[in-house]
Amino acid sequence: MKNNRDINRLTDEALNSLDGAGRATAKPYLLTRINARMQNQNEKESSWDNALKFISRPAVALAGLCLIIGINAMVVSYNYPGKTTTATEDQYVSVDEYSSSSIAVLKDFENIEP
Amino acid sequence: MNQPELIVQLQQGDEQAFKKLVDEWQDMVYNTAVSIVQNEDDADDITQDVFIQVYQSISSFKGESKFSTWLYRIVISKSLDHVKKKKRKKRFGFVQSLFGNAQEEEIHPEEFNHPGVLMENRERAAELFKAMEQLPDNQRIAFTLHKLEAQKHQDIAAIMNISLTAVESLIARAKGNLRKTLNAYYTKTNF
Repeated sequence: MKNNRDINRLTDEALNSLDGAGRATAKPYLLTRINARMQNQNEKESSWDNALKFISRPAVALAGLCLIIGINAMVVSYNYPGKTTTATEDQYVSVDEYSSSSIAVLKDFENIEP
Repeated sequence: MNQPELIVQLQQGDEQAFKKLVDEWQDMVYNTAVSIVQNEDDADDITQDVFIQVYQSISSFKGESKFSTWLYRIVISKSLDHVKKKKRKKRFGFVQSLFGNAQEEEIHPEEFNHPGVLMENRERAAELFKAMEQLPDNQRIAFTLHKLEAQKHQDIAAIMNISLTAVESLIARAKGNLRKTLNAYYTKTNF
C-alpha cells in the first residue's frame, strides 16, 4: 500500500537525482564528422551555384525567354483559329438559307392553290 | 590563446582556431543538447549543426555578450526546433496510423538515461526527464541550465535574455510542476 510519505520520498529522490550529475561527453571524432558534413553541404551548394550561373548567362536567359514567347504564340495560334472556322460555318449556314433550293420551296408554297 | 584572440582567428577562417573551439566547447554543446532533446544520436546531430552554424556565422558575433552566452543560445534554439519537429512528426505518425500507414521509425524512446547521471540515480532521473518533457519551454530551459549545466542564475538570465527574478520564478515554477507530475506518476504506478 502506497502512502503519501513514500510518494513524497520518491518525488524528492527524483527531483534530486540530477545532483552530482556530470556532463555528457560528445562522441569521438566530432571534428571529422563536422568537416565531412560541411564539405557535403558545400558540394550541394556548389551544384546549385553552377545551375544558377548557367541560367543567368545572357545567351541562355535570352534563349529561354524566346522559347517561352514561342510556346505562348503557339498556344495562342492553336486556340484562336477554331473561332474563325466557326464564324465561317455560320456564314455558310446563312448563305444556305437563301440558296436556290430554299427559294424554290418558297415558290412552291406560293403556287399552292386554295 | 585567449578567447577574444580565438574569435578573431575564427572570423578570419582559421581552421586551427575552429579545431580548438570544437575541442573546448563540444561537451558543453552536446550536454545541453542531449538534456533537452533526450536522445544521444539527435544530440550528436545537433552538436554538429551548432558548430557548422558557429563557423558560418562567427562574423556576426560582435562580442556584445559572452561567447558562451551566444553559443548556448544557438544550442537551445536548435534543440527546441528539433523537439518541435519531433512532436510534429509524432502527431503526423498518429494521423497516419489512423489510416493504417503506421510509421516504422521509432519516434520516441521509452526511457532516456542521461549519460552523466550517477548510476544509483538513473531510475529516478529517467522519471524526472519524462516529467521534464511536459514543462513549458522556458521552464524546461531554465531548469536544464540550472541543474545539468550548473549555470548561475545570472548567466541563465543572460542566455534567456530575461531578468534575474524571472529566472528564479521560472526555476521555482518548474520545480513545482515537476513535483506535481511526479507525485501523480508515483500515485498511479506500483513502485
